[in-house]
Amino acid sequence: MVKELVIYPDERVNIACTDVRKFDEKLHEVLQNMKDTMQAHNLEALSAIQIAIPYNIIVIKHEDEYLEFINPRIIKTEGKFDSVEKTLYYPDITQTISRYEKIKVVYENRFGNPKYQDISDPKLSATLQRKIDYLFGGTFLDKLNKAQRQNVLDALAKNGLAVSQEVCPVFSKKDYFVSFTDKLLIVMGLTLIAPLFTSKETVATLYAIDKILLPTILVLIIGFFFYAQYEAKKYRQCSSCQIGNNIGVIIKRSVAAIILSIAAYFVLG
Amino acid sequence: MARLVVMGGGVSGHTAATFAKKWLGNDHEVVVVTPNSLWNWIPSNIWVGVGEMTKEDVTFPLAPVYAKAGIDYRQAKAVSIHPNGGTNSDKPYITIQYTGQGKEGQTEEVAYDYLVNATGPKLNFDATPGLGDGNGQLGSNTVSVCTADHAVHANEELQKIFDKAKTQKQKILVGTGHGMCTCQGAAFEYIFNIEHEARKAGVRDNLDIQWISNESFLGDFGIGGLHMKRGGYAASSRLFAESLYSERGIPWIIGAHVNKVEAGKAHYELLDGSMNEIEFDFAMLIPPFAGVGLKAYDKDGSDMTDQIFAPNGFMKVDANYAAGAYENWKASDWPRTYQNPIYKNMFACGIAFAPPHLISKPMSSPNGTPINPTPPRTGMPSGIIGKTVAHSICDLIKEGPNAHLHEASMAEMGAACVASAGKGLLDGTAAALTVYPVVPDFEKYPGLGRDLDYTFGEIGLAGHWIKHILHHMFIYKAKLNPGWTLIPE
Repeated sequence: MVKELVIYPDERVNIACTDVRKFDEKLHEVLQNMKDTMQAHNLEALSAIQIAIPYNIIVIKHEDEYLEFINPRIIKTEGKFDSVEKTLYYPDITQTISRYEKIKVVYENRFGNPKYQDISDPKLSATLQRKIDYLFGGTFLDKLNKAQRQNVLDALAKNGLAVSQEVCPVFSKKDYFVSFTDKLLIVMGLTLIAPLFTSKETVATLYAIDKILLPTILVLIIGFFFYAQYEAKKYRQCSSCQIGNNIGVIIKRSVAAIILSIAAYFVLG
Repeated sequence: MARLVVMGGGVSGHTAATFAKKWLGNDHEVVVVTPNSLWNWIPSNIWVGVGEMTKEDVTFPLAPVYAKAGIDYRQAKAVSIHPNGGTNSDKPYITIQYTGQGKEGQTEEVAYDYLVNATGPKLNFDATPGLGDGNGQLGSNTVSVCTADHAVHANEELQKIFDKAKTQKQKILVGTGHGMCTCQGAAFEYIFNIEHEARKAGVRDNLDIQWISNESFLGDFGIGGLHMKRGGYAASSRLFAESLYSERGIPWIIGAHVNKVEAGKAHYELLDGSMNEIEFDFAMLIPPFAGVGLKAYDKDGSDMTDQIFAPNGFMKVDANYAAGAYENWKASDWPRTYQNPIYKNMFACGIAFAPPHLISKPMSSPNGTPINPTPPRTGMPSGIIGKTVAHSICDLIKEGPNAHLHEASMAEMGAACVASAGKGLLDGTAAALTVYPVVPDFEKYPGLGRDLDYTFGEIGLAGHWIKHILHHMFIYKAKLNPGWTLIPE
């Protein structure tokens, strides 16, 4: 069966694939679907992820024969050369990539039997390397430097192909929580120097305010956490929405609030 | 009064013993049997191995800490377990042989009500001819960073190489010294710290630094790879690792089983069955791990080691050891309570428990040589498991044998890993990665077997700061300083 191809800006190609564990009819069906898709689109090689199947499977057409590589690993390399490559994922893009000239690959056939193959044809070697990169969640753009990569993305954008920008908001509403928290922390900090300038009554009032500010900040931090979690689920492709970053924001503000509260206790209390 | 005996005072054993004592108080007795007089924060050994820390920075004496905690400390190695007691008594006991406290060489029987095996690994240098000295210790051909003393020695040898590199080319080889090694992460950290120090010393141009490991792809780390979120999806650590190695000019050999080491030369078999060799002036090759060689005897003195320990010397726990082929492996094969299936008063934690199978894909060469990383049980999971076991034993002591056991399956546990790639306040780098769960659960998370919402990774200076903070934090915790229980494992 001919399957739909995953083409930029569809980012499913970035999924790291998993090893095939069962060598059964389902695998054979996937292999057949890959061949059908290759024939229908006149392709020389295909990784399973390019038809949205996240498994370590590659099919390459070489000298009218379909070579099947299940769970391939490159274990030996020799020489390097500049390979001029096009890939299906980025339509109409050609790039020169540094590839190994000769490789030794260990893989399994459709029945799960281990196989070893020396590949000395540079073209086949480069094709297999490019397809293996797909299996690990990478494309040939990962082999380019930052400027070259941006050039390719700009060229694709000119053709109307770009990753939707709304996946990672430039300004997130969760930043309101952070901004307001930071302002309250500054207020708490300023109250600490009040005893230098004001009367005891004013200091007592400021201490009372600090006692309100601490729980307010903690409430804001809790609010931030839940809203950030909501946004992380909403904008799944936003790397700055990751829980690690959010925890970092929370820890920094919590530590500052606690330190300022302790200082207020000793200075104002 | 019940007595809990903990064999081993590493990350897992120390965690188990200290929490158990805290929860049990003075109503019950906690005994720690460990051959070491010092506690070692092993992750920082790599910094000792490049001269950026001293042995004193990564170790501290155990005796005063245990004295403060009220733990009975015996500086001795455990020799055998007698779970059914001996000829004179049904009370289970272990035999120990002292290595310090003025009783060196003396043996003793220590009775127990509950036993925790946290003996860690035997560094099995002799599994690779030439890696060991034939007596179970590190040989003269390579160095190691597995212990603080090894790391001090490694640094001495490394500095000689740096001196020579001022005038001539030198070859450095770092990686795994056997096809069944674990702890690729330690070797990963060491090679990048060497590279970083070489640049600082101005000798990088004269050093050929080479990686060799049993992973089938770079970045496997014994857990089938980590995954880093990118564009909403998780790319494999292979991409990250290959970029880093290329950027730092370090070529790699993977799928390698080092089968012999000579002075200045390592022989290795690749996954394709080919035999190769590589020369070096300095090599740090991690040895494979095995159980420490504990024996178990029945009441009548007959050997029952094979009932309690797996063939590799690690203790059997509540895992499914009959999972069979790779395709049948499940997350549920992994132990949850770490209780021995025969003797319910015996537990194992950290490296000492026998894993049901590998985490990485099993691979072997056409010659039948297995070449694949074995599962890591170190670091964060090790501490968590130690604490969980302590919790279970405390409940068993306080609530009786029907108490519900606490669980900490590595298939339901996340782990954070901070791997140093160079030490320096302003020019240090480290990769900070999280993985959840450690053991992939292919049923719960189809595909990779991991939850990508809890997956992230970054490399940079902040990672180094975190690594350095963790160094001080965990040593602070292990010394049982105020608030130690608040610091997570």
